[in-house]
Amino acid sequence: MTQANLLTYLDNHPETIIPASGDGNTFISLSSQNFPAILIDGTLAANNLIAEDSEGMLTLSEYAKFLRDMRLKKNSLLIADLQSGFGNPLNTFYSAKELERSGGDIILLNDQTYPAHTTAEPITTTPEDLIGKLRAAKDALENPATQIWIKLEGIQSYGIDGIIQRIGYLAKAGADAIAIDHYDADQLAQLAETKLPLPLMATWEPGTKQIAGISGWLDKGYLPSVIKRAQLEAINYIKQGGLTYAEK
Amino acid sequence: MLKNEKMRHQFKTEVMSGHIVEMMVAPDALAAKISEAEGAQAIFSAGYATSASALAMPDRGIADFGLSLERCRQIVNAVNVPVFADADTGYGDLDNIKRTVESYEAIGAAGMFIEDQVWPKRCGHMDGKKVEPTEVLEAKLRAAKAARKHDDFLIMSRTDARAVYGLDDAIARSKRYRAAGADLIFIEAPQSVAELEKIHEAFPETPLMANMIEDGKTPLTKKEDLQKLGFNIVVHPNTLTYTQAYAEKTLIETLKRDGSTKAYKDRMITFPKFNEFVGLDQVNARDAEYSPEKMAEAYMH
Repeated sequence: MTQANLLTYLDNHPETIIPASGDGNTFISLSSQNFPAILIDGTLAANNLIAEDSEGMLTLSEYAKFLRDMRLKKNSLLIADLQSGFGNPLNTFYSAKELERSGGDIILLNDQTYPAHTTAEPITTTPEDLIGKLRAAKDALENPATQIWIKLEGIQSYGIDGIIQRIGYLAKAGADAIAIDHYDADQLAQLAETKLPLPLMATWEPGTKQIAGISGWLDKGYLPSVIKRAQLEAINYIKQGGLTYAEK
Repeated sequence: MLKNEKMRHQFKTEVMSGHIVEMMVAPDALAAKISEAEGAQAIFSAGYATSASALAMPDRGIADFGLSLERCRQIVNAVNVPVFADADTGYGDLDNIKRTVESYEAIGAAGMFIEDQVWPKRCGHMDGKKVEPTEVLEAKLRAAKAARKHDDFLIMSRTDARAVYGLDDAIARSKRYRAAGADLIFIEAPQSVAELEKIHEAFPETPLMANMIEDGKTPLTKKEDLQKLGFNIVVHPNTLTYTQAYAEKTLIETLKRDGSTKAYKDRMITFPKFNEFVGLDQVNARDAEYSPEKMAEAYMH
C-alpha cells in the first residue's frame, strides 16, 4: 500500500485503527497482522528506550535509530513521530529529513511548542510557527510520496473555530491530513460534520466512540498498556511467590 | 531518482567504466565533505579510521557493527558522492550478515566488503592475522547476496590470506569468493608490484581494489600506474587519519611552546572560510525562509 492509497483506504474503511508501537516486541506482533500502517509513537518509544513518560525527553537521534531498526523489519507503511519538530522550523527541516531517511513513510508533526510533552493539556504554538514547520518539513522531503500529517492538540485552548482556521491554513501550506487529539466527543462530532479541506483523523484509546466523518483512528498505545497491566500482574505473582518461600 | 539509488548507480557505473576510481577513507563526516570538495570520486567508511576517530583505538576488532554503521550513515548523509562500507567480517555468523547487509543498504551505502579474517580482526597490514577456512566467507557472500535488495549494492570479498598462506592461496580463495557471488575482489596487502600484476592476471575481467597504506606492506603506487596494472579502485585508508593526528599534535605543541596559536595560524582554515565550507549561509537563509511574517503572508490570508 502506498501513502496515497492509505488515505483512500481509510476513507473507505473509517473504522480502521492504526496501531501504535514503541518497542520491538509489540512491533513484531503488529507486523505479523495486516494493518495498513503502524505508528511509531514518540511517547511509547520514550517509555521503551529511556524509561521516560514524556515524548519530549526522547531526542531525535534516539528516536530515529529505533525507527531505522523497525524499518528493517517491515516493508509496509510506517508513520514517524516528528513531535513538534525538535525545535524551530529549521530544526524541523533537518528532523523531517532524518526521519524520512530513517524509513518514515508518513511524518506526523504536532502543534505543540518545543519540547513536546505527553500531557492532557499541552501548550500549543502559533499558527505561523506551525506553518513554518510544515513548510520546512515539506522542503526537506526527498521522496514525493512521503506525506506529512499534522496532529492538532489544542482544541481545548483554541476551540472549534481555531482548529477549523488552522486546518484551512495547513491545507493551503501543503499538509496531507489532520489528526485531532485531546478532544471531547461533542467537539469531535461537530468537527466531523464540518466540511474540511483535508482528511480528518482522530486519536483513539479504548472507550473512544468512533463516529462517522472521521477517516481513521490513531492508537495511543493500547497494546503496550495491556502489556504493562500483564507485567504488573506477573510482578505481583513473583512477589507473592517470594513471600511464600520466605514464610517456609 | 532518490539519493540512495543514485549513489549505488553512480558507484557501479564508475567502477565498471574502465577508469580507476579514487576512494578516500574518511574518519568522519567533515573529512568526507572535504574529500568530496577536493575531487574524491567516492568515500570509504573504513575500520582503521573509524576506530581511531571514534575510539582512539587501533583497528583490532574493537569498533563494532553499531558504531561503524552509524559513522558510515553520518558520512552518507554529509556527501553526494558514493560511500562504500567496510563491514569487517560481517560481525558474526550468517544471521548477522543479513542484518549487516540490510542495514548498510538502508542507510544508503553503495556497497560493502566482508573479509575472511578470524574475529576479532586486525588491520590488513598488521602482523599476526588469522583467516577462516574459505567456506566461511563463501557462505557469508552467498548470504550477503541473498540479503541485498538491489543488485547495484555491490558486495566485495576481501581476503587477508596473503600474509598467512601466500599470494597463490589468496588468489585461489578469491576465485572461490567470486564464484560465491562477490561483485568485486580485494586481496589485502600484496607485497610488490609484481604481486599486483599477478592479481590482475588472475582476475582480468573482475573489478579489483588496491589499498595504498603509508608504511604498509604494499608499495605506494600512483593511481595512473594502478590503472595500467588493471585495478579499478584505489583506496587511501589512513592518509586523512595520519594527517589529522599530525596536525593536531603539532598545533598543540605550538600552543604549549608559545602560549598561543598565532605561529600556527597560517596552517589553519579561517573562521569565515570554515563557516562558508560547512554551509552556514545556506542554513541561515533556510532559517529565515520560514519566519512567522513570511508564513502569515503566504498562507494565512
